[in-house]
Amino acid sequence: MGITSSLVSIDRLPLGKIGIISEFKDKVIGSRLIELGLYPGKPVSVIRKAPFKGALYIKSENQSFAIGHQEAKTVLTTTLEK
Amino acid sequence: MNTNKLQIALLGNPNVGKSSVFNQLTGLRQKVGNFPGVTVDKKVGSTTLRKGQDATVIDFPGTYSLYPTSSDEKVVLNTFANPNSKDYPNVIIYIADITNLERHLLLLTQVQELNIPVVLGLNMSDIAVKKGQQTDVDQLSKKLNVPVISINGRTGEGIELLKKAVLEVTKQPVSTAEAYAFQKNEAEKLVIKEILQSESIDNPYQASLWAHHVDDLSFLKAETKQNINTIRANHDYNDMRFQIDETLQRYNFISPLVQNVVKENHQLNASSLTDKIDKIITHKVFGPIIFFALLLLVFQSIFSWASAPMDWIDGGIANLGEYLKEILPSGWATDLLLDGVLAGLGGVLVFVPQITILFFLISLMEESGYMSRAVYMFDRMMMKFGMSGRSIISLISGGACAIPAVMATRAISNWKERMITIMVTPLISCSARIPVYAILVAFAVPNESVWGIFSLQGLAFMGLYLLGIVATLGAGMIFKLILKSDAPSFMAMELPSYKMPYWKNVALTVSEKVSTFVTEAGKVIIVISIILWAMATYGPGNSIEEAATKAEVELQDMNLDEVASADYIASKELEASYVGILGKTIEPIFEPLGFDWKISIALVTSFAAREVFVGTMATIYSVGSAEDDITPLREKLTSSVNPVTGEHEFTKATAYSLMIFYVFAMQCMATLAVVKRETKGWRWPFIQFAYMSALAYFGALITYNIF
Repeated sequence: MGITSSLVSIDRLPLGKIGIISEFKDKVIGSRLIELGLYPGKPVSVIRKAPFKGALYIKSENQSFAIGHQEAKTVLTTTLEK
Repeated sequence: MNTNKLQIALLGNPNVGKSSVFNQLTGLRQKVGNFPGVTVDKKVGSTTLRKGQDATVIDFPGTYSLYPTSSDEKVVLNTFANPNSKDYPNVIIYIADITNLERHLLLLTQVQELNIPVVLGLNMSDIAVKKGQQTDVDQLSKKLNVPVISINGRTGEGIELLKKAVLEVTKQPVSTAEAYAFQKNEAEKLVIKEILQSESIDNPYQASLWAHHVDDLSFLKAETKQNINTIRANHDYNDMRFQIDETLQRYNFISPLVQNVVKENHQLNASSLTDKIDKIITHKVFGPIIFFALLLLVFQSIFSWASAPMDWIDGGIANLGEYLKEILPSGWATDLLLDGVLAGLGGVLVFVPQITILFFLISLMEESGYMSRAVYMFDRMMMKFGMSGRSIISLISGGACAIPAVMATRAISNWKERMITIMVTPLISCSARIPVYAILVAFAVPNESVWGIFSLQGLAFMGLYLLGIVATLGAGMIFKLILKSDAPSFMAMELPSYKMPYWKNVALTVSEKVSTFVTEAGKVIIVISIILWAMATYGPGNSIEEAATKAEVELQDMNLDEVASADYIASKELEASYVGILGKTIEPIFEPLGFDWKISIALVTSFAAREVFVGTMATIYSVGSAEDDITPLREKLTSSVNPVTGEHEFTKATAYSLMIFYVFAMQCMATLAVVKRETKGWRWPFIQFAYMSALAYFGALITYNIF
């Protein structure tokens, strides 16, 4: 009831909230994330952020990753919202 | 090398413990070479598969897939897409981390399609057991159609089985290409078909790689590239789409496979320790504090802990020299051996303690997993200056010595970021500049304090260091604008779980760094120091003897003691040598900076090492015997007056101008030798020497005219 999914880039994902990767806007960053096992359909959540728009510490299925702030903007995820 | 010797490629993702396996396979039978045309290191070793059958093992850089996103990965692509490459293997040993199987099988499924026999080694089985993870190895082997061996790179468990499996697969090559051909889109199929028809390759996946990476494949001829580009255009080839499709299809095959063969008990426990550690280590405030505390430790250790062993090496070489002087007949050959070769060797070995300590600490950080956290915290900051998060280690180490610092840039995988780090690191004031700063500051800056606490001389010292740092960062920003990158610079990486460093790997890293420095950069350093020694010892014809005789005549009227007389003769001899002549020849160049021929001579000799400046100045000013005590030289500089003009030879303006000169100048042949070794050519050290010299020259020129 009233559940919609919306597209949010990783940098705008609230801390701790899970987003499902759905789309890459940048070819090279997309390639690298796919190589890392972060491909469309995988859940990600942001654990913490380095200060001054620094990198994001993200987790996906118990694996930790770091992704730059600009880079995170190119990765779109879907989240479920009431 | 025996050409029919089996060639094995060791392949796998980064952080799978591949180098441990390489070390287990080859022991100390390994060396570092080059991949053609790139600055990526190639580790090659030899292993005995069974009695009488040796094989060459090439350790390829850690790679995620055949879609390269870094210079390292391009090397792998260029080898595996080129059946004629001399590094093309007969067998692949593919190492995967058993605790991370899903992701690590991606590249495996790609290379399997190349029809090269593959053996899969599952590493970290001990950690898997601790995590309560069980893997059905037989099932995995059946599904992937490759022999699978559980190994432990740290203990060497399973390495013999791995070798046996390699021998097996070479006897009866498994055909793998059709095992699970990943459905290709119609357009891609047509492209592959046309490439196979028109070019001299017969493997469909190789053809697909050619189509995908036509611009990245350096071995393709121009007409081949043109042909492929035409074929691509004819079929509307969309590489990004095809890549995602291909990769997702591979995962569609891999994911259920892994879920079937791997049984996990407690998923969450596995990384909770890492999570707890990271809560502090990567904390917004504590993270950087811990990091800088660690860097302080690194700095302290190369700066001061290395000084004792460095003194032993210095002393040992000096003693050896004196001993040899007694037993060898005197003559030019002995002089060459002792003052040229032996002194040069000392100049090489003296860096070994710093290199050892720095790489010991760095490999601890790498092995434990800490380094990637440092990159996470500082990448953003360093990016502004065209560098990577890892560069910060080099810059800080550069405060002790640029040589280990430049060698430490190897871990930076992006070519542009690495080059910038190499180019700017020598601008950080290193410990060899301290004696030079010390004499100049003592001469020019009054020994007073401001506001009762700050020593003026101390502030001047700090100013010189800060100037070096500002120049480093500024140069970084400029190089960032100038240099073209071969791969886009971005950060997206794994943060591996923390683990105990493996000591054998640490030891091997250290010994590899030391031996490459000694054998490769060492050669250049010895040659240059012999040249410098010869230039300072000999002069045209018998000019040296004449100068000495003349000095002795002059001495008769001067009423000096024995030591002072010897100093006086040494000074005149140096003036008459080739270095002295060169110093006088280049004097006009340096005159606008306030440097006379005496300083010019010291500039030439201090190219061996910056601190030599002080010794040469002391010799020229006839106080050579004072050695480490700088007071006599300072007094001489203060009192010496030009006999013709009656003006002071050495003014404060000259001293300030020299300080600025030494902040910027690339006055260190050892660093240039290391830069040559790291960039594999003379081009970069030349550029570095040119830009730093220009900076030094104009910096000093401006300074001289201000004061």
